Amino acid sequence: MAELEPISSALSLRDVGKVFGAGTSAFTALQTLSLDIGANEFFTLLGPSGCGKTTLLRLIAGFDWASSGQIMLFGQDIAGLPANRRPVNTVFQHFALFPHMTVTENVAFALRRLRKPEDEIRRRTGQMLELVHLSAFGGRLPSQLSGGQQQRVALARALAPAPKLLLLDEPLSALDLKLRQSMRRELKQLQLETGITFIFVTHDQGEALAMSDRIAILSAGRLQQVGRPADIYERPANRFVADFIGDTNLIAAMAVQPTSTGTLCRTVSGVEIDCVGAASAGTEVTLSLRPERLRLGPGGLPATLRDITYLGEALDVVVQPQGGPNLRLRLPSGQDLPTVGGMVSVLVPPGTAVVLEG
Amino acid sequence: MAGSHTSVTEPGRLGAFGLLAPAMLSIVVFLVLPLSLIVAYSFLTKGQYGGVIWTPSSAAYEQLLFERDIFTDAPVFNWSYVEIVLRSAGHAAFATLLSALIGIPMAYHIATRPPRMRTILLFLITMPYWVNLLVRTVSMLFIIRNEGPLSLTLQGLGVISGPLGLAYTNAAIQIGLVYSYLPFMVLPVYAAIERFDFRLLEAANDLYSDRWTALRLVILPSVAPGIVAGCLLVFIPCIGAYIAPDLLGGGKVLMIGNTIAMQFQGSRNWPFGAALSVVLMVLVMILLLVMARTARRSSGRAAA
Repeated sequence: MAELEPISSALSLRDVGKVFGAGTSAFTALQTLSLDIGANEFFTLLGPSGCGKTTLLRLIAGFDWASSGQIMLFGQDIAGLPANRRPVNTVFQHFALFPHMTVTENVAFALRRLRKPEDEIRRRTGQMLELVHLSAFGGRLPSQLSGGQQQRVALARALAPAPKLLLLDEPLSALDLKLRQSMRRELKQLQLETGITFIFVTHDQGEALAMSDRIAILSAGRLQQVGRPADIYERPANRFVADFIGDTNLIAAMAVQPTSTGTLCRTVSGVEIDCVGAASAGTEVTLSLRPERLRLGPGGLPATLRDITYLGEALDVVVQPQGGPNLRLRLPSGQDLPTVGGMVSVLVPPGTAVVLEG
Repeated sequence: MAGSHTSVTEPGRLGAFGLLAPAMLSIVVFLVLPLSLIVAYSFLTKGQYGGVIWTPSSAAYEQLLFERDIFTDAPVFNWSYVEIVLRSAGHAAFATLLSALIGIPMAYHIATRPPRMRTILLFLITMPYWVNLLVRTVSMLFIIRNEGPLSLTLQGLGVISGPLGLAYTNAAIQIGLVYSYLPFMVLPVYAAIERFDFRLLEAANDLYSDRWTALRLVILPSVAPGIVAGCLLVFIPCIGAYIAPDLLGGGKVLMIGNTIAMQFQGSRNWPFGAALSVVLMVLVMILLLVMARTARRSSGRAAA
C-alpha cells in the first residue's frame, strides 16, 4: 500500500505492547505494534471499545507502563519516564478539570508546576483562554460552565505548557451532537494554529474521517490499518476495516487471474468482476463494494429489487442478483425505480470492488 | 376573592406545621427546656444539700475566676478553673490530632479498596459502637493496667522491666479519647475521599505534578471539608469527655467533664456546675461559628 511516510517523526512506537496481569490471568490489551506519527500531524486512533486505543494512549501519556517496546518522542525514549516528566499533555474524556480552581487557575496549573515566571504564566494563560474564546470566563469555576466551555478549558489547560504532543481521549463524547460537530472544526483549527501533533482517540468513524490527517484502526488489541482517511475508506485492508468504516457489501469470491489494474475475481454466482488489489490466482477472497459506488443502468447484472428506504437526500436500495446474496445500493433520491419485486440491472463501475485480505 | 386565595394555602401550611410538630415538640422538650434550665440554674444561689435556691446570683461565674480571701473576703484571681478549661481543650486538641493522623490514612485506605471490601471495613469500624462506651472504656482500663495483659506481655517479652504504669496517666486518657472517637474522624473523611474523582489525580500527574504536589493541590482541597468535619466531631465530644478522664485518668487529672460531674455529685454546687456547662457550650459554639465563617469565606473566594 502506498503510504505517505512522514518527513520527520514526532512519535515513534517500536514494538510497543501491553499485557495486564501475569501468568494464567494475563490479558493482552495491546499486541506489539510499531507506528510513526509525524510532526504536526492530526493522528487518530480509531476502533470499537475494548480495541486497545485507550490503552495505547495511556502508554504514550505515561499513566500505564508499556510491557515492551520503545516510545520515542522526537528521538528520545520516554518509555521509562513517569507521566509528570513527559512533555505530553492529555485532554480527558470527562475533562477532569480541578473543581476547586477557577478556569484561570486550571489553565495556569501546569505552568506553575514547571516554575515559569509569574508574568509569563499570566501572559500564556491569557493567550490560551483567548485561543479557546473564554477570556471572559477566567474567574469562573468549572461547575459554572457549560459542557462545551469545560471542554475548551480542558483544551486550553493541556495546551498551555506547549506540549510536544497533545493526546485527546474521546474528548467529544461527553458533548451533545450539535456541539460535537462545531467542536470538530474548532479542534482541527486549533491543531493548525498551534502546530502541535495531536493524537486523537475515538470510536466515531465520522469524527476520524473528518478531522484526521491519518488514522490507525485497531481491533481486539491489534493494529489493523494505518492510512489517510480516503485510503482507508477506498482501500480497506481487511474485512474488519471495510465493515467498520462506512457501509459496505462484503461478498465471497475466487481470485481468477491478475490484471493490469488488480485482480479478476469470480463471485459465487459466477459473475466476473475486475477488482482493485492483489490476490494470487485460485485463492478465496472477500470483495468489498461500497453501496454509493454501485449504480443501476442498462447492461449490468440482472437483479430483483427487494427493498427501498427513503433517507431524504438518498435512497437505500436492496437488490438481489440472480443466484447471489443481497447487495445494498445508495442512490440519489428522485430516481425512477420499478416497484419492489421488479427487475433492475446493477452496474459495478471500475474501481468499485476491492479485494480484502483473508 | 382574597379570602379564597388564603383558603387554598392555609390547609397546606397547617398540614406542614402538623408534620413538623412532633420534631418541634421533641426539640423543645429535650433540648430547649433542659438548656434553659442549665442557663437559669447557673444564675441562681446554691442550696445547702444540692439543688438551687431561687435567688438570682452571679456567684457561680465569679467562682470560675476568683476565690475569696479567707481573712479579708476580697476576691483574688484564681487560675485553677481556667487551667481545667485549657487542659481540657489541650487534651481534646491532641486527641483530635492523633485521630487525624491515624484516621485520615485509614479513610484513604478504605476509600480506595474495591466496593465490597469498603463495606466490610466500614462495618468493622462501626462495630465497637454496638457496645456501650462505659463498658469499652473499662475494658481498655483492664487491658492497660499494670496487672493487665498488655503490661504482662511486654514484661514477658522483656520489652519493659517493671509494670507498664500506663493506667491513670495523661497517655491513658489520650488512648481512651482516640479509641472512643476515632470513627468520627474516619467516617466523614472516608465520605469525602470516596466522592473524590481519582481521574483528577491522573490529570494533575499529566500536568507535571509529582505525587506529593498532587496530594497537596488536588486531593487535600477536595477532602478538606471532610477533615474539618471529622476534627469537629472528635474535638467537641473530647473537650467535654467524662468517662475516659474519670476511668482511665483515675479522676486525678481534672477536665471540664469531671469537674462538672463533681459539682452535681460531691460538691453539691449545682449553679457552679451549670455555669461550667454554659462555659463549655459557649466555647464549642464559638469554635463552630469560627469554622463556619472560615468555610464560607474560602468557598466565597473560590466563587469570586
